[in-house]
Amino acid sequence: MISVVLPEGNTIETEAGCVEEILFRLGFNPYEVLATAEGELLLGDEFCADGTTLKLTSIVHGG
Amino acid sequence: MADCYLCGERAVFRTEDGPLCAKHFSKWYEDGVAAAIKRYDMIHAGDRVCVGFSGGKDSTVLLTVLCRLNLDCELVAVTVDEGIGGYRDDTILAAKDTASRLGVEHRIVSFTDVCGKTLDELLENSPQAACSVCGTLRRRALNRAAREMEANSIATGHCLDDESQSVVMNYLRGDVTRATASFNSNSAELFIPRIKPLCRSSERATVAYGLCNNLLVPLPECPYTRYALRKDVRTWLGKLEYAKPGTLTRIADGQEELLSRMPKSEVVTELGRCEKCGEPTANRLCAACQQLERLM
Repeated sequence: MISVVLPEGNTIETEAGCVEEILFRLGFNPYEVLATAEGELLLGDEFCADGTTLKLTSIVHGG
Repeated sequence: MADCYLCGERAVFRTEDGPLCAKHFSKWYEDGVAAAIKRYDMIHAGDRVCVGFSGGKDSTVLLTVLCRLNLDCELVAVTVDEGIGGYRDDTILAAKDTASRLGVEHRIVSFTDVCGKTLDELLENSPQAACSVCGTLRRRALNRAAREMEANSIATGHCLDDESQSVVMNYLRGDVTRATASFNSNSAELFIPRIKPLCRSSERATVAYGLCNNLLVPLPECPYTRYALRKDVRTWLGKLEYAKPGTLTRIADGQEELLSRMPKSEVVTELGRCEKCGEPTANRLCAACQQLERLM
């Protein structure tokens, strides 16, 4: 399992997989969200192994 | 995992040319902004550029990149405090911090200065009008502050996504005047000209640049966003951009091509001064004072 810190700050657990696959699973459009692990930006096809903490940042802000 | 096509380091962002590492991506992004400034002839030697600086992601990246490009101009920044409870306080702190770190002269102006009330107070009975009221009053506050700071231009953080969304929104509203930019006036002397250096940079690349360069702090979402048509258009275009990459660029390119084929209106609307506040307007009252009359 991996931990995912959602854009609004909540953390959830989900199965390991590629970044894009995880984003789709959680209902995000991969264009609108950037994923980082240990402070590094990840590409959509990167695999997140068990134990990874993925942090999601929405590209949308404000009004 | 992909490697940077320029140096073989671990890639962090996929551009249309190929994947890039953090260092080459940052350079690619800055070069893109510099190219847009040149292409649209936005900044000239000796200019004093006032950056509309909310402290959010786009304007933080904008101010940072303008500083890093070492342009032959002077930069100042203005933050407009609309008075939105639970939202603005954090972004203003972030703005102060960034401006101080970059050594840029920074002024904060509030809606209370402009009209005596906060946005929350103005919208007590009509929150649906938030984006329209806020946009109009913010433009007035920014224009006035930029004039007082003797700026030649106001740079805003509107990126490619914002521009493409605006094109689509104009059609959805049936607003032909805005869609064709056919309004022609003597406004140049009264309004400080706007420039949008990020207009050819995607929101995704802009936020990625902010993350790669540790510029961004987590900030709350504006509580009025849920009322905006832009939110629906943004979601729709975001899906299209993912399914058909380049959609946003094609919309912006198409709009530019359309405008280049449009004859410039020969009817020049003479602008005068608003009876109430003295700001430029074609009517008795400017848009901001009309909004305020309806709300107060």
